[in-house]
Parts: sequence; C-alpha cells; structure tokens
Amino acid sequence: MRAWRGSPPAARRLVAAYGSLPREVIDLACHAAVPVAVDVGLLHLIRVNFLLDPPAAVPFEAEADLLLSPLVRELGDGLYDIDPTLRPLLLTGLSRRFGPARPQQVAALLEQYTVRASAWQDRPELLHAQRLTAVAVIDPPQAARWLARAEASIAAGTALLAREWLVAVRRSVGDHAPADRAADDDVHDALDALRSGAGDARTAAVHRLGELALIPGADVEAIAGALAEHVGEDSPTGGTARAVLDTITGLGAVLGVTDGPSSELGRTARQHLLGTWRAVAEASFRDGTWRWSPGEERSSISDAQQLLCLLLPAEEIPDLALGRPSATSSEAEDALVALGDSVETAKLLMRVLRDYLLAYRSEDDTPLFTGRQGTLDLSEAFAISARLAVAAIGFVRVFYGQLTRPDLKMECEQVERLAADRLSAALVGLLRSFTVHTFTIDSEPGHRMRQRHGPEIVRVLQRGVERFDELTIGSGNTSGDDLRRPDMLYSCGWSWGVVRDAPPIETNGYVGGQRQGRATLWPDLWCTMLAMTTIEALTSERLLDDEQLRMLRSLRLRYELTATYWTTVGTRDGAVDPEHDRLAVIAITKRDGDVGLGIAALREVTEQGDRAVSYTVEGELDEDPPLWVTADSTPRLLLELDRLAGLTTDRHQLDLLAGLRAAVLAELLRGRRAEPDGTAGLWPEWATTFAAVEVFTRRL
Amino acid sequence: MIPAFVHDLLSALRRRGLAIGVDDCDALRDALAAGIGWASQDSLRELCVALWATSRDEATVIRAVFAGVGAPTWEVPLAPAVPTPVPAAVPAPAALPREAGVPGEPGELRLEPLPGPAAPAPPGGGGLPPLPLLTGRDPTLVLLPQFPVTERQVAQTWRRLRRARREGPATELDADATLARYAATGLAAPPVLVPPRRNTASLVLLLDRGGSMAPFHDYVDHIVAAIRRAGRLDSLLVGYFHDTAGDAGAAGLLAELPDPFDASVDAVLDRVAPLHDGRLYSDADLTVPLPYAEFLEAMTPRTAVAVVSDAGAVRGALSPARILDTVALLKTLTRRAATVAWLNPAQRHRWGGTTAEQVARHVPMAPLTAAGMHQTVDVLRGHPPVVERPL
Repeated sequence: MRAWRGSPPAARRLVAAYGSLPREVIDLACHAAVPVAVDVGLLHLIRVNFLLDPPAAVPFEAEADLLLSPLVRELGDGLYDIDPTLRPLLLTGLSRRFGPARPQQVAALLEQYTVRASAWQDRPELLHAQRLTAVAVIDPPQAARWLARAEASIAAGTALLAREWLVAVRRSVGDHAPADRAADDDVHDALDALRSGAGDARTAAVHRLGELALIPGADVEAIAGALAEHVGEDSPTGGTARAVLDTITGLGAVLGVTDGPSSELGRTARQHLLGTWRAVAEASFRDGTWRWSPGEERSSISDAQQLLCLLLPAEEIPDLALGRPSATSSEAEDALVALGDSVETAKLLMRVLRDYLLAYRSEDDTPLFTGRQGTLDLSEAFAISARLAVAAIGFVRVFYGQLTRPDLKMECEQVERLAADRLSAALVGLLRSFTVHTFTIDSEPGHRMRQRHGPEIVRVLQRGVERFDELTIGSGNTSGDDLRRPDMLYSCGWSWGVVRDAPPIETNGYVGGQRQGRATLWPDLWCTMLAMTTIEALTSERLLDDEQLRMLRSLRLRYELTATYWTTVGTRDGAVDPEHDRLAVIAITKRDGDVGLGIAALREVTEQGDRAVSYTVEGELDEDPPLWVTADSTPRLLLELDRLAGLTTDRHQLDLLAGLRAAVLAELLRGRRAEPDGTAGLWPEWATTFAAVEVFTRRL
Repeated sequence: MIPAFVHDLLSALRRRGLAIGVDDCDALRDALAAGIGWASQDSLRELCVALWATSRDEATVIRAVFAGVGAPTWEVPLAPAVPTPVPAAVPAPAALPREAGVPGEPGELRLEPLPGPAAPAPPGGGGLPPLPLLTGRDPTLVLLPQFPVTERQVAQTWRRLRRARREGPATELDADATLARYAATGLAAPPVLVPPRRNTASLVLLLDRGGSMAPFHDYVDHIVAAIRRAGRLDSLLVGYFHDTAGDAGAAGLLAELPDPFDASVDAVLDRVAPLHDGRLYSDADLTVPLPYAEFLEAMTPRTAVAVVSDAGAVRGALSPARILDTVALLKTLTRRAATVAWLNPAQRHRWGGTTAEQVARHVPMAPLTAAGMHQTVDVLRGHPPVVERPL
C-alpha cells in the first residue's frame, strides 16, 4: 500500500508502517513517543506496565520490531528516538487510543525510571530533557516556569548546558499538544478550510485530513465521510480527495474502520447489497404478513420490483442463492432474518410469487401489466414482469428439487406455470410495444433532423432499412410502408405501451387476450432503455420454452436495430445530441468503441444534477387526460458509469470515472429513506430500490 | 461469589509469568477462612504476596498488579475475633466500605512528591534550577523487567546440563562397597571412600552484540545472569562478538558458488577452513579482547557451546559471506567441543530467507524461548542433533 500522491512525509511514513508492521508495534510506538528518547530498558518497562493486558496485549517481539523499524531512529549508545515527523501524530494517537490519562501515566513511568532506575546519570542533558518532558506532560505550567528560569541561568552563563540544548528541548516538549486542545480540533480546522477555503488551501486541507485519518485511534469514518462529499469535484481538490480516500479505504482493516453511516463509500457492494436486503425484508414482512410495495401505492410494476430486490441477487450471485435452503449462506440468512430462517424464507417467497401472479390477472386469466393508475398495459411492466417471471421460474425449479412434501411440490408447479404464462404475455407485450415511426423529410420532425444531421442523414438511415423486413412478428414491420422512399425518415424504439395498430401475435403459448394497442408511434427513450435492459438480462435460455425463445430472438433483432439507429441519430459532432436524454442514449447505444464520448455525456448528466425522468401515458379514451410517469435516474446513471469503467484501461478515464462513480454513489446512498416507519434504508420508490439492487449485484 | 478483581488479579499475574495454580488459590481460601487478611486491603495484599511470591521481584509484581486491579479499599479499625469462615472466602466488594479516590486506583496518578531520600535530586543540575519531582511511588508502576522467560525457568532448564562425575580426592563413603568388602573378607577394614560426584559440565556462551541484537541485550543479559546464578556449572565462559567471530578468509569461495541466486553454500562447504583467528571480547561493550587462543583452550570435548545471535533474522538479512564466516567458526567448535547449539532471539517464522535459515541447516538452532532453551540443553547434553547438513 502506498500513500496518495503528494502526501505529507509523516502520512507517507505512517502508511508504510501500517503496511509493514503489526498493529501492536504502532501502539507501542505511540507510548514510546512520550519520552525524548528511549533505551531498551525503558521501552520494555513501557510495554510491561501498559501493554501487557488485553485488549492491548503487545508481545515481547514488538519491542525489537519497533526499535529496528523506520518509525525509530537509532541515536547510538543504546538510545533510540521516534522519527520527529511522526512524534506529534503518535502522541495524539496515544490519547486517542488509550485515553487522555495515558500520556501522564507514561510520563510518570518516565520520571520514575529516570530517577529511581538512575538512568542517564552520565548524560545530564538527556536526564534533564527526560525529567522536563515528564513535568511538561503532567503539569505544563510548571514546565513553562522552569524553562523560563533555565533560560535565565543559561543567559547568565551559570549553567553548563548550552542554549542549543534549550532550543532542542523546547521543541521536543512542544510536540506534546496543549492539554486544552481537544483531539478533534485539528480535524475541525481542516474541515473548515476544506469547506470555506479556496484553491490550494482546500487541497492542503484534504492532505491534512488524510494525515489526521492515519493517526492511531482517529475518527476515520468521519474523515472519510467528509472527503466523500468532495470526490465528485472536477478539481485538484476532488482528485486529491479521491486519492486520499483510496488510501484510507485501502487501509480500512488496519485503521479499524467499522461500519457506520459516514464510511459508506468505503463499504463493499456486497455490504450495500446485504444492507438493502435487510431493509427490504424488514419493510416487506411484518407480524407474519407480507406487505406489498410498502411506502408506495402498489402496482404490478412496484410489486415486481419489490420481489426482484430479493430474487435478482439470489439468481445472480451463487452464494446468495435462496432456492436451496440447506445451502443458503449464513450471510444471506442473517440479512433476511426478518423473513424467518432459510426454509421459511424460501417458502414465503414461493407463496408471495404465487400471490403476485394471481393478483395481476383479469377475470379471463389474461395477465395484466398495469401501472398505478389507468387500466392500460405499460411497456415498463412488460419489461419488469419478464425479468421477474424468469427469476421466479429459476427459483421454483431449484426449490422443487429440495422438496419432498407433495403439497409443496404442487405449489411449486403452479407458480412455475403461472410465471411461464406471464413471461409469454410480457414478451408478447414487448414485441407489440416496439415501434418504427416514419415521417417525410418535409414534415416538422424531418426538417429538424436534416437540420441537425445534414441532408445525408436520409441516405445513412436508408442503409439498414431492409433489416426491418425481418421483423415477422409483432409491431415494427414496415415492409408495407414507404420506408425506402428517398423522402422518408424514421425513428424506432419502444413506446410506453402496445402501439396503435400493433398486430396480435400468433403463438401456441397461453398469453390471454391481446388487447388493442393505444400507444403513440413515437418511441420513448426511457421506455426503450428499460425494454433493452430486460432483453439484455434474459440470458437464461434454459428457463424459456421454444415459443418464448422465438419471441426473445425477435426482440433481440429489434434491440440491434434500435442500438444501430440511435448510434447514428443520438450523436452529433462527436457528442451526444443534447436534444435527447443523454443517459438513455448512452445506455441504448452501448458505444463500447467510444468510451470517451460516454464519459463526456455522463459527466454532463452527473453535473446537471436533475435526476427525475418522465414520460407520458395516453388515456384509454381519446378524451382521457395523459398520465405522467416519473422515475429517479440515479441508479441507472451509476449502472452506466460502472459499465464504462469496465470498458477502459486508460488511467485518466478511470480516474475521471472513479470520481463520477463515487459522487453518484454518494448521491444514491443519500437518497434513502430514514423515517422510522418500517421503510428505513429503502429508496422512496421501489423502482429506485430495485435499480440500486441491480447496481450492487452487477458490481459483485 | 468470587469478586471480579480476584479473577483479574489471577489472570494478570499469570500473564506476567507467575504460575498461580489451584493450590495457590486454595491456600488463599484457607488463609482467609482462618481469619487472615481481613483487616484491610493492605493485609489482603500482603497475604497474597506471602502465599504466592517466591522472590522479591515476584512480590513487587504482585503488589503492583494488586494495586492496578481495582480491589476495594476498607479498613477494619480493631482486629475482630476470628470471623466465621465464609464459603466464598473473599468478601464481595459491595459488602466492604469504599473510600473514594484512594491512591492506587487504576488510571489515577499520585502526584504528591515522594518524601525522603528515595527521591534524589538530579545530580549536579548543571547549574540549572532544580526540576520538581511530580510523581511519587505509584504502586501500579513496575520498574522490574518481565522477560518472556523467568529466572526460575532459565535456572530449571540449564540445571539439566549436568555431567555428574566423581572427581578429585576420595572423601565420600561408599557404603555398599564397604559392606561388600566386609562380607567377602570378614575383616574389619577402613571404609571404602570414593571421590564425590561433581557437575563437570562446562558451558561456553558466545553472544552476538550490537546492531540488530541491541533490542535483545537486556533479555540476553538476564538469561546469562540467571544461568550464572543457578546453572551450577563447572565453568562458564562468556565471549562476545559482533555479527561474526572473525573473517574466515573465504571470500574467494563465494565466486565459486554455482548459482548466485541459491543461498546455500553447500558447494564449497567442505573447503571452508576452521576459523584460526577470531575477534572475541570478554565484555559486553566489546572493549576488552578475549584472546582467541585462550578461548580455544577452553574448548574441551566436555564443553557445551551455545551461540546466541539472530544471524540476520531480525532484519531479514541474507549474507553468503556471513554464512561462510559462521561455518568457519562452527567448524572450529565442532572439531574441539562436544556439542554446539544456536539460540536465536528472533521468532522462527523470521528465519526464512535469511542467513539464519542457512545456518540452521548446519547447526541445531532454536528460538530464545523457554521451549527453545529446553531443546538446546537437550542438544548440549548429547542428544544427537538433527540438522540437514552437519559440519
């Protein structure tokens, strides 16, 4: 482990010491910093008097380790002293780790050793310095008075010791912080400078905070928390804060960082995930009853998100799997303790899955994909339902293999059947929500497009047109249209729901009645992104039947066409066209060839700050007022930043992304509820909670 | 119920090397049941000292630990009649009157000056004003070193280095022989006398000094002093050296080692000559030379030699030249002395990759702990050493 670039010398040495010496040696060094110098005998007495009993039991070898370590300088004649750059920090550490009385206790030992053990009798300058140090620690005013008198006698020439001695001893006594200075004053001063200072002064404050965090016993979490607020800054201060935070979190275990709200950035994705699991479990299951979408009006979307918060990590991360209760890790069981033990958790999940699948069905058993208001199916619901259905099938298939009781096996079979039906219906919905919208070059949108991309856009877009003919099922087939006409332009993607005139899909699978489409032919980028995320996530083909696979393949073709289209239309002059939602364009186009463009766009998104996205859902009847659907894009932004970080090895880009990711993660974590209404630790919407779970799961 | 401070006292004493066992606890219980140690905290403390301490140093340690464990303070003004024996033996702290702020409570410093001559003024003062002495004799502070091996353990271990032999003028009656002769001859004759048994073991300690050994000086001195006091040896010669006892002049051999990255010197081992001249000292400060010839003279087939050195292990140093020099010294010793062993103050896990690891292939090496010394004495008594490449 190396200290951050530009770190103060003391910090560099402390980081090196933490990396190479056992913790006990550093505890011993804090004590050895009290005297001016130690010999082997005094160091040994320090250990046997103060560091023999738990919790700070230091072994004999630590004495030699310390004396031969870089923390200590050998002065010859069996004498050693602590590196002068480290001494003030170690003295602060002594009070922090062992209480404010400990320096006085060590000083008492020093005085007794000097006087009673007759140490240093032949070295009056050292003897006086040691005695004076003891007095300075126990009774500072008395030491000050003595120093004044000694100065007078040296000036009068009556003393044998020279003025240089006095200067040295003054400096050495000065290392002991004045008693009226609280241990946290330095931290507060540095924090003030960081918040209210400017330029170099702020960067210096960050360096100072890093140094202070390395002091044994320092409140590392508070300092890390304060630094985390500044890691997103695009300035030398932000860069230094990131580097300091890296060093501190890298030394986390050594510095004794424990869990706490302020050190959250230092936590691993796994800890965040388990923490979110715990919050979901506690909010969802109360007094023996499952609560649907607590904190929010329930809908087929939020209920699915709630279930996926538990099932997605269980599906993706082997040691968090829940379908095999005997093999459930203690970590997972512990996080989900509110649901009961691993067997009860699995049974509960199976039953609430069944409740969900039965709840969102019409009287004629047609699966429903409605939102909170209105009666229309939404493409967001198709997307999330497809993911939930696949996760549910995976879960019950494993759980089925664990069961012997026939009634439970039957319940499993029922859940699998219902989930398969819902999956088919969701895939049908996604196929019918895809849209290719054509318009002439002289129409208003055609005119605008030519203005932004130049007249050649017509030719560019014509190139891939024939691939749309391959869309044999669902909406978006334009073979009957005039797509190839040189005066036509088009747009493609997913609309908010099944589009107008979308043909029903012929399938052997049971999907219920296919309702008439109502949605506009204009694609919505947010809906497009959600649909494409789902298509990407449906990788477990073994859980799909042949009909479902056929539909999935057709969806994947739409995915490719959409990505290609938006790669052309979404960017202009080497940047994302600000006319469109930048985050959605980056997510849709997956421009893995051009990480720089992605970073630039997402950096603007990060800095712009407004995380609310929305789209309109038209009513069932033409006179119905439109509904607004809104969402928080913070976790999606983080997901995309994480993806970009996996695509580059460029040091500068990684630094830039590290700062953005830290800032957005901090923003995400700040957004959680804190109200003691049983939803603490969750985000205000289940969509955000689920997306956050997705972020943490991907990070593992 | 036994008060918490008694548990603390016992475990703290055990951590400080005092082997307080069940018998010792029973002894305390019996003494308390007999009415001893009830008058005050002081009397209980002195009872513990009387029952458990086997030396003055141990008494000091017990008093200091007692002062630090937070025992309640009480004073019974007049010695009462022998109290009824209590099963729990030690009074519960709550039952005892407490005094607030008594000296000796942990965490509190006594700041009143120590009266009398126990507090000498700083010598000379160099013309400076006298410095105040702020701390008195804080009962919790111990100014006695507490090394990992106690003097008693050292003594017990090294007493095993015995070679009893009858030597000198015949002064001891051999009763069996006398009776046997009388039975055989029937004549009243003078008793049969034999020379008395004597421990003829002679020990040579070669101690590395300075450099990375400096942190261990006090510890090694403590062990040597304990051996000297209790070892009952016929002779003990202590020689000091720094790093190596002398230059073997084998630098030329280094160039002939086949693999520069292989630390072992096996390829040239047979060609290293014994050390004919070395630099040894008879004092710890390395100022008074010990003539090498005199040192060699002390080596007899009855001599046991123990080398105490970290052989680079403390600093993690590997030096092929030092290995050769050491091998030369060891060859001298093994040619003349009966047994040689090495004690290393560094823990065994530190030896890897250092000179010590290579030296340990040629001579039995043990860490400088109670167990390590036990093994070493076994080797020195003649137990065949197990080493990879004996010299």
